[in-house]
This record gives sequence, C-alpha cells and structure tokens, in this order.
Amino acid sequence: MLQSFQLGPLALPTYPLLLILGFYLGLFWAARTAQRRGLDPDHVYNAGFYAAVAGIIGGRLGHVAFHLPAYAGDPLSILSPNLAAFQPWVALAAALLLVAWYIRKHRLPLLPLFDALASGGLLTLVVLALADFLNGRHYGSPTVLPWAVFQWDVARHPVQLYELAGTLMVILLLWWRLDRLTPGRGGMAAIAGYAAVRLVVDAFRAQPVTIGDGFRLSQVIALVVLVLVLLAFYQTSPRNPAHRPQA
Amino acid sequence: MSQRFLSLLIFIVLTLGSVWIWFNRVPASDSAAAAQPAIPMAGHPAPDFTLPTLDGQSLRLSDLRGQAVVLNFWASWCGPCRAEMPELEQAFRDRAGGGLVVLGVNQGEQPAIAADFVQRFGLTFPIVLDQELQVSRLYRTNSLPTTFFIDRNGVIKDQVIGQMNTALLEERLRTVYP
Repeated sequence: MLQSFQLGPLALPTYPLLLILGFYLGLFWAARTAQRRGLDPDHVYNAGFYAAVAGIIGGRLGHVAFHLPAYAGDPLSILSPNLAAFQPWVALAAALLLVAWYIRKHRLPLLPLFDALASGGLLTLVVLALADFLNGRHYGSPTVLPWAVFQWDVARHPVQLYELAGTLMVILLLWWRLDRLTPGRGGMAAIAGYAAVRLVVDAFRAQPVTIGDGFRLSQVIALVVLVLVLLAFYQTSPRNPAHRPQA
Repeated sequence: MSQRFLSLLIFIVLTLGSVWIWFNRVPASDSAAAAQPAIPMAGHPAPDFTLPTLDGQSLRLSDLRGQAVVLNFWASWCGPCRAEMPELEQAFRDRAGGGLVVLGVNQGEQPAIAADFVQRFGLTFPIVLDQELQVSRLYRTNSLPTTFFIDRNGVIKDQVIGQMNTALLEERLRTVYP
C-alpha cells in the first residue's frame, strides 16, 4: 500500500493526487468520446477546466464560510495546500453550476455530451479504484486464492483491482460498440456496465453495509440501477411499438 | 437490440442478479463475529501500542480509552509539523479538562532532540518516542505530519495527512469531541 509519499518537506497523500489524475484522464476520455459523437472536444476540456476551477475555489470558499471565525484569525490559511480543507458539496455544486452555464451558453447537445461524460466518468472510476487499492480502502474479504494480496496484514481478494479490470472492460466494450448506439444510449450503457461490475465484484468486499437479511447494500443498489437502465433501453428502443410513427 | 432480446436480458439479469445477491448475503452471526479489525483507517479501532514518554514513563494508547485522542505523528525536522504545533497545543489547552488528549508521537529522533523541540514550542501535551518506528509502521505513516482522530471508544473517526490549519483541525476535532 502507498498512502502517501514524501517530496522534500511536503507529505503528499496519494488519494487526492490520484483523484486529480483521474479527473484529468476522465476529461481526456470524455473528449475522445465527444469527438466520435461529432462534438468539438475542446468543449469538454473547457467545461472540465471551468468545473475544476469552480470546484476548487468553491470548495475552499465553502470551507471558509463554514469556519469563518477560524479563518478570520488567520486569513492566510485560506491558501493552505491541504486538500482536506474543502467542502465537497459546495465544490460539486459550484462545478455543476458552471458546467450547466457552459452547456447553455454554447447550446451543446445534451445526449452526445451525456455519452462523453459517462465514458470519461468510467475512466475516473478506474483511477479511483487504483487509489482505493493503494490506500487499502474498501478492501476485500480474506481468501487463500493464489492472487490474494496482503492488505492490513491479511491475504485478501484484490477487490479494488477486480473493479478496476471490470470497469476497463466496460470502457473498451463501449468504445468498440459506440457507433452502434444512438446518442444517449452510450451513457446509459456506461452506467449499466459499471452497475454490472459492482454487482459482481462487491460480493468479494469485506465489511459491507448490509440491509434486511444480510443483503449487501451496494449490490442491491447496483442491481436496481442495472435493471432500471435496461428498462430505459427497452423503452427508448427504436423498435419499441410506442416509438413507431403512426400510419 | 430487439425488444425480445432486451426482455430476455432483463429477465436473466434480474434472476441471476437476485440469486447472486442472495448467495453472497452476510449472515448476522458472521457480521457479529467479523468485528472491525484494528487498522489505521476511519471506522476501525485504533491499533494499540505502548511507547516510552519523554519523562521516562510508558504510555499505552488503550489507557486513554474514555477520552478523545488526537494522535499526531511528527518530527523536529518537519516544517509542516512545526507549523501546526501551536494549533495542536491550543486545542489541547482549550479542551484538556473536558476529556481531549493530544498525543504526539515523535518519529525516530533522540529524546534530547524531541525534548528541545517540546521546550521550544512550550508543548504541554504528552509526547511519546517512536525511536524504532514500530508504531509509525503500525499506523502506515509514510509522511509527516499525519494525524488520527480517535473517539472515546477507541475508534478512529478521521485521518489527515499534511499540515492542518485551524479550521481543518476544528472541523476534524468535532468528529471525536462534539
């Protein structure tokens, strides 16, 4: 595991750094997908840049607003390099608001953009799975299988790597079949694919949150999402009689 | 994809998914037996240790059970550690009577160096010496400063890597000392 590394006097945690890398790679992949959907990839980079700036500034300002007396005593600490001093919900809201403004300003078509962002989001999730693996987060249940990894001194399923590999497969499949999916259905396929991955691999996660008679909550959510997306596929199918033009 | 194929797919996914979830459910007896292991991660019991203090006594983490603990790994050569020490000292002085302990773990230095540091910064909270780095390894502290927030039941509620400003310290303190 590699939770952090020392660079001179700075302690650099791997999780937030990989989060940043995942954001960039997700943006890159979204831009590639957007290009295949006939969109200018620069729009994706621009929207991503605005979202990142708004998220960082909004997240820190949110933290300042929630802890005004502490920052009033030491205003320079607003510039603290510690990425933990953020309000994530304010950051997310600021980023989404700016992206919505950008889409509206440039009148971008929503469905192809949805396909691009969902595909890019999958690559971000791949990097986050790697970050989880390096930090021993969301670790697997004990096993004696030959590919077990030692996390927290116990041989465990490398469940984060299962998730990483499964999500990569979904990305590749989606890239291969993208041209056969109408705009909007690419994004739906991305969500369905990730839900299917979580439905399978979360069986090997340790310490799950359970509901009812010991059912793993994340698996239940994944199955519900998967079925809902497949139903949406069914409803929006061009061959659905409800969508056929009336004679 | 044809309508018939999609209908069949939905049926198969629903059936196989439900069976898979049923097959992998966690019996109540198992979840009770699989108590959270003591590992340095939020939601888990803090791994216990005993280390010598600066004044030659020894201090065991579990002896502090019943009090909230801010476990801070530091070294005198670490600039961000020096920068956050006044904040930690202030937090300790403000709340010491109410059941909060700041416990500084000096990483790998000679007692004289640690003592000089403590005197220079006027630290009044307890300091233990991890000269062999066994506790640093136990807590996977690859970089300094690293701080763990442990509640009165000995459960880690949060971890911060890097220097904390006042706001961040106050925010994370509330997870163990509401």
